[in-house]
Amino acid sequence: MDFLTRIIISAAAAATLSSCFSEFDPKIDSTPVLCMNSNIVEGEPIWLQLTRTWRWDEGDPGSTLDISVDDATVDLYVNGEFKERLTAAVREPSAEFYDPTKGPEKGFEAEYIPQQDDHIRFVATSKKYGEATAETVVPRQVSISKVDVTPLNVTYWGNEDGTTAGAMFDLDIQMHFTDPAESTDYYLFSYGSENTFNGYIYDENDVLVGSYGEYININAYSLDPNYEPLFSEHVSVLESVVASNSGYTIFSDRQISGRTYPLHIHMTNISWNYHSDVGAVDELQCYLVLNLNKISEDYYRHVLSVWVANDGIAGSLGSVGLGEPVFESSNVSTGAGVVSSATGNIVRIDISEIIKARQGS
Amino acid sequence: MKSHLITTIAAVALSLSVAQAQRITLHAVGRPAEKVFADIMKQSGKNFVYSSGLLDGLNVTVSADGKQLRQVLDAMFEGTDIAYRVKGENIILYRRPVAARRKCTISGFVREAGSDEAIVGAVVRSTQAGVAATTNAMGFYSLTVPAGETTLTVDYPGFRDYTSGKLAVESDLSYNIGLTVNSEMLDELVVHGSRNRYLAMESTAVGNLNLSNSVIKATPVIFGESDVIKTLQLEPGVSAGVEGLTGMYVHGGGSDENLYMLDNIPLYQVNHFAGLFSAFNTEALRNVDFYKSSFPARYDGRLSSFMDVHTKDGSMEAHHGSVKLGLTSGAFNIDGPIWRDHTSYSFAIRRSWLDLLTIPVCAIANSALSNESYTFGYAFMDINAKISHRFSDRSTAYAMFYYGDDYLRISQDFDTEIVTGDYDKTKNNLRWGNIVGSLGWRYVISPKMFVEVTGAYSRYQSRLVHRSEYGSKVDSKVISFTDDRLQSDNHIGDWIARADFDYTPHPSHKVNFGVSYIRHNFLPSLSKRRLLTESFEASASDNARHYKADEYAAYIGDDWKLSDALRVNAGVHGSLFHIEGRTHKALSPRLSLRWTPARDWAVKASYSRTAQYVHQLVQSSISLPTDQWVPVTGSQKPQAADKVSAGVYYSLDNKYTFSVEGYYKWMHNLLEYCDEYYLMPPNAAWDSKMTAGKGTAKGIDFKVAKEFGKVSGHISYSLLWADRQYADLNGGRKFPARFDNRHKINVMVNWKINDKWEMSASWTGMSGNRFTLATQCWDDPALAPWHYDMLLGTEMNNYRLPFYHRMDLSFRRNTRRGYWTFSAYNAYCNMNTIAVDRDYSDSFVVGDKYEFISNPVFRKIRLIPIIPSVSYTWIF
Repeated sequence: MDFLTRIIISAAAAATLSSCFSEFDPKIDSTPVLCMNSNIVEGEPIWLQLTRTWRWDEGDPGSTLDISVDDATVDLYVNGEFKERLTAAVREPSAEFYDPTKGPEKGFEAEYIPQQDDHIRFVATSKKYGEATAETVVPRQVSISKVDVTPLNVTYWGNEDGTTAGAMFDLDIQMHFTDPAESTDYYLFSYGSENTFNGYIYDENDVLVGSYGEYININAYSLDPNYEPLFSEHVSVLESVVASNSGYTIFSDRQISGRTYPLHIHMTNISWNYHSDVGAVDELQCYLVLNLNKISEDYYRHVLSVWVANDGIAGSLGSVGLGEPVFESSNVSTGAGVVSSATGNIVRIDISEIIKARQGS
Repeated sequence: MKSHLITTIAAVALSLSVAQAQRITLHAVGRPAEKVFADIMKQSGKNFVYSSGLLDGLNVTVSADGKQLRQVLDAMFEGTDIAYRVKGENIILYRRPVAARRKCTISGFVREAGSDEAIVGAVVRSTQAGVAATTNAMGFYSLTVPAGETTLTVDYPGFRDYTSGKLAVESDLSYNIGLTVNSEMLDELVVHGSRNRYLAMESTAVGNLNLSNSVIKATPVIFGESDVIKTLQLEPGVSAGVEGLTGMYVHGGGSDENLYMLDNIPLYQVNHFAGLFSAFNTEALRNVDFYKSSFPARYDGRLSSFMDVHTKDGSMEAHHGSVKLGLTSGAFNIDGPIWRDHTSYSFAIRRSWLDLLTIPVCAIANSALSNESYTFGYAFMDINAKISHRFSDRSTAYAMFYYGDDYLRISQDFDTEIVTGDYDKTKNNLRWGNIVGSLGWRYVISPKMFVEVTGAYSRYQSRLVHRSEYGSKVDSKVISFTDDRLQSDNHIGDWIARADFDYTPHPSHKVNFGVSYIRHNFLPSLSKRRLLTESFEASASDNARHYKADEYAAYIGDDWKLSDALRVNAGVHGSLFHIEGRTHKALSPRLSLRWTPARDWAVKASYSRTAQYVHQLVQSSISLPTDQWVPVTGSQKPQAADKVSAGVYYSLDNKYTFSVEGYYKWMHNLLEYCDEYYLMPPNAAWDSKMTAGKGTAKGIDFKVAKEFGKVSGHISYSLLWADRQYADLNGGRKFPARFDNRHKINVMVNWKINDKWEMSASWTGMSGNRFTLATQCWDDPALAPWHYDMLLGTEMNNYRLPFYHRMDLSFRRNTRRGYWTFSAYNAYCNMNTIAVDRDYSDSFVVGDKYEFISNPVFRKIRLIPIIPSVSYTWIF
């Protein structure tokens, strides 16, 4: 192989195998604006986080970039009247989104406790980043008339002395609720577990000698959203082929307005475990917690936009330049963020009863 | 002289001063008149004065030995309609008054000898009368000449020049012409004209192009799959959209603003495989007419361009065919006589290979899996078939059929019943495509009038079905199950009846007129769902709205040659669109004119208005089966465009054609998805997701073309500005169109190296596409189940992607029985940027401590590297 041939082959191979991506600076000016996030829950104190937007390649907020806003004030208006100026505060982040690198959350809190139907409006002002406003209406609680629970595929095991037991099962639940006819409503179904029987045993010298506990292993994948058509009302047929809808349990009343509807909740592979070093316990208290929230339209639009942007066809095409990009929905004017509200209606299902029934059968 | 306002004066000043009575001696047999004039001027000292075009193609025969000038002139112009007058030192030539002589009409068809395929756009001339006509889409011509002897000549690229010999025309005459292919002429010789030169220099059309099958095949394209749309992408003023796909955005227009026709029948879905291939199988087509600026009155219904693909009729003489095997698809075509000289057939089929590769791949993969299996298959296919029958020289009929189909099947099956008692099966079937069937009858009513009557059905349909079945069994007893079936249908079907007439009442007038009726059936987006479980059953149907619309249209246009220098084409297309009790009306006037200020120069101007009643809802720049064709409904108005254009053309030695065309287009009532339309349910009424707006486009197209010789091709440059403004998009603010490619340069070269090897190369360089680049992020409110960086909305198309450039190469090696084609798409492997995304640049720093650093960065996504391909075509 002569020298020229080698060069030609090397150049061709290098060009063919060159990376499909290359970093660059698009050289577009961008001006940061205020970002206001608050989800108002009926009966709970208001918490609002105020930050600023940042250019993507400016850094990573929380580690290499500080996006906090120090010179801002936030005013709260309820039902059109000024209620109070929020006060700056710090709180521990929720366990769900706990990030040890980020430390406590900075934000603003209000003394006012929101009620159903409250029309909440925030006005945030900063000398550096301008003004931002957002408003939301706290929804009314949904009426749940009946909950039918059918355990399926229960597999139980346990030792003879009753100190260790476990079970694996599916649940088929029909939650009957009534949608108000006079309004346009949006819903979010969420779930979790609640355990009260949990602890450690120490001797008189405070030495750990045993433990006892009962817990349910349930996660975001436990719910099979396919069983409930309302959970996928935002999914087109083509998207049902190519997109994931896992975890998204929002829906609107578009198809059920004014009707009582049995929400079909199918949960699979729920595991329950029980262990006690203090002997068998008869009164187990372990609950599956179901929460049917009425959420504000802002909440619904935002969550839906997150799904479209990251899982839907429009967002997938937009992210690779084959369509227009999808931006996550914001209801903050002259700024960014989401000010939303939710009112839940919680149903607790005593898992222990199910287990005991199976145990006895 | 009024009629000679635009007269070219050919004057030669000779120093000789010769008496009028001087005698002339010359001998000429079939020599061009202008050369004979030069001899006469030398001997007589007189100048010839005449209009440009008067002598086009005129060859004279004269023999004189010491004859007087008048005797020579009389002999020279005998049998022609040219008269003369000697005035002072000038011999003034003019056309004889029409009334002075009886006229007869010669009409007939120009076809390819051997195959009898109609030749479209051939120029038929009477040398004595100095008149010319071009053949229409069926190869028909009509020429009115003075009674007496006349000679017809025909020239058409790729064929030997045709001369009829002297025809005695004493009454109307039917005269069919067969042209013989002459490949040597294409390669070696300068020909007298071509379809595209004629369009540029003689017709009134601005931005009109004719592509032959061979030109399309010679254009190098991705995967070596020749494609008419990808050939057109190399034309100035045509943006390709996303690299590698068959997008077409003409003069800043949208993708649904082009009317694609197959033998004059609209085709709605013109793409296979997300737009990687077009629906037009090159092996089945004869040639293509493309209009991008001035539009004949016959065409309406789209705003930006019209493309009429003429398919092969089939040979009346012998059977011919070819088999092509490429990397991505194979094609077979055959044509020939069923009843020699009366009935012919043409059949072509093309099918992709991809599923033949994926089936064994899936089988091998599944064999390694227990309790689960996957299948994946994609294929496209198209079939073109045509039967033509000639009842007589005046009457022919044909039946044409097209079937295009894409299917995608994806399924997965988890069957763990034995182990866990669960099963989970998912099947997805997506199928979409066109069917076109048409029956046509062509009849020469009289030598001056030709009619084509067509009845047709054209349908596009897509059906997507998703079915998932899952559940649990215990001891073979089903204890829970779910059977979920979703189906989405999109359909547009047209029943079409039309009659198109060509009428030549006078040599200077060519009138086209016609009527049409289309019964549209639309089912834009029907969604059905049935959910069945052990305890629950639900079914729902959304968007079942089914529209029927009636579209009536009539048009008339006259191509009027006012003088040799001035030609006008004026017409109007009127239409009614009746839907849901409302009737929309559109009157689309057309006017174009050509002025020849000097020999080999043409100046043109045109105005066209177009209206569009149906449009396609597209989410992206690629072709998806879910893209829906929908009609104008509710309060929407038909989309409309007004376009003015002008051009200057110059022909150099009949070899090179230079053109500069400018245009300005105003678009009204455009429809587009509104802001955050994706937050509406997918089965929400489609029109609730739309917003209306307007747009403008302006630009200039430059082109130099050389159509013949060993080396041929074209170089073009186009300059474009295009913008849009919608009430509910981008906050109502104006924004640049996505494919507002400001500068675009195309170079296309075909080189016949020798009898065995041919090479084609094309190079495209253009300003990058517009792109909406969100640069800012905001803090996640943590409302959704999963967490991402939130993007702050920004102005649409706020960023222009980097300059795009690419070269494609193709080599053809002719063999005894066919030819090999070797091609390289993106030959120098410049991977162009198609988008910009946000990602992290990960790196490790090893200094005092080992540290992982992840910096957010913008990245260019660069897509297509060099793609070599090879195919073999066996010709029989």
